[in-house]
Amino acid sequence: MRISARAWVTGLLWLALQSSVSGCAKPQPAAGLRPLPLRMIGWTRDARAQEVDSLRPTLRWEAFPRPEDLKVDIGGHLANAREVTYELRIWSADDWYPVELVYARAGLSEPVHTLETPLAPDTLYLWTIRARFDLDGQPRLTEWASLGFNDGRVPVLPPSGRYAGYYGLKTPKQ
Amino acid sequence: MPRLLALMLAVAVLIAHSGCASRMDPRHVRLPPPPTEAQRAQLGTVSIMAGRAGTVPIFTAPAKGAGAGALRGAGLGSGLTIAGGAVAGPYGVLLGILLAPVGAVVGSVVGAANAEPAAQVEEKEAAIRKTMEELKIQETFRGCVTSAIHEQSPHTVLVPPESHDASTILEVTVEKFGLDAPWSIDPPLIFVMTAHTRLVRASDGTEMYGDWLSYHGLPHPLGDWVAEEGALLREEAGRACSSLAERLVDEVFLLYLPGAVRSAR
Repeated sequence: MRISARAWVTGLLWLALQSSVSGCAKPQPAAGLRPLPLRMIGWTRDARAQEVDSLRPTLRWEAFPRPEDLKVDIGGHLANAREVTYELRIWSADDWYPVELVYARAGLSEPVHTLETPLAPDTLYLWTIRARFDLDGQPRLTEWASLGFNDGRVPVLPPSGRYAGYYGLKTPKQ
Repeated sequence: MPRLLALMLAVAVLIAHSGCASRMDPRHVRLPPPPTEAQRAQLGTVSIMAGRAGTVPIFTAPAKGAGAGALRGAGLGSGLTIAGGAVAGPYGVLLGILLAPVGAVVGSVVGAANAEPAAQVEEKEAAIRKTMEELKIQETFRGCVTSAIHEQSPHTVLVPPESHDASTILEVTVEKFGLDAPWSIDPPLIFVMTAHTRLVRASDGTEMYGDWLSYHGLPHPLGDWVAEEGALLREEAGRACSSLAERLVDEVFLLYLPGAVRSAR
């Protein structure tokens, strides 16, 4: 079967347009509690991760439940939420994919945590948080905080489709 | 008409490389909302059972022998020549198309030289498939889910399936698992596992919740997966089992979304 030059050009045009449309979207907070600004010295070159000023950074995030949670809570269950604590996870990263869980804490009573052990210098990490609470005597969780696109898509890395939506954090050189 | 198409192509390529293109490839990955609190209140006793669908083992083999390597190399060589031309602009694309046969020839030579002998690949494939069978992934995954429920959701009352005493069936099925890779000559392989979960009311078979969760590991060369009697494969399968089970229990029993709509993931 012979493919015409026109078909080739049309196919390539479609591919290029797909690339341009998908590539322009920037991820933004999409699920879970949002991190609050860190003490940082700048952004990474790709502007996707905050470069913090310490190997034991202090991480902060929104307290749960947020006014927006209460506003959309149709069933009104959150009014009965008790014993809110937070869970924090930090992974080493390989091209924005979480590789190894290097730090985890649960039962944090406040939406802030200073790392108790130092991270490695000049390294990219991914981090996320979620709230754990008690609802009528049973444990409940919020979603892990993650980035996504405003139309509900999440960023993944080709070709494997690996999930890459957690927040970036780069440690200083020293 | 060809001039107009070429102009449109040039504009598209320029936009694609104007700086806003990122390395991320957004795809649609949505999960349904978790069961409602009303549904959870009616769960009662829960049994974990296997679904009806069997597991599809995945093994994307590298090119088997010089012939297959040459074929794959030819495909990749021509494709890369065109793609490489696209980086240089619209005229580069056209040049890339013209030079694609040359890329195919070079690719076929490289492919033939780099492909492992067919017998070696087949031997490794047999070893991988044997390890995958030994993992008994369906039973193992049910075990992971049971442990995760005990640990994460102790208020859930589990009863053995043979008791026929459950109000709700938690059906868990590993639909796909194995090693996957992009189509190439000798690509690194990634451990993948996809599990289907259904929450079914025992009395009338009504499905209250259904979802697929997937795990994707890191890429490793085929030789690493085979080494030490598949130690890496066993380790990664264990990691996938516990990771997917943890996420499954979170979704089904613990996750609370204040709004009716799930924003992402």
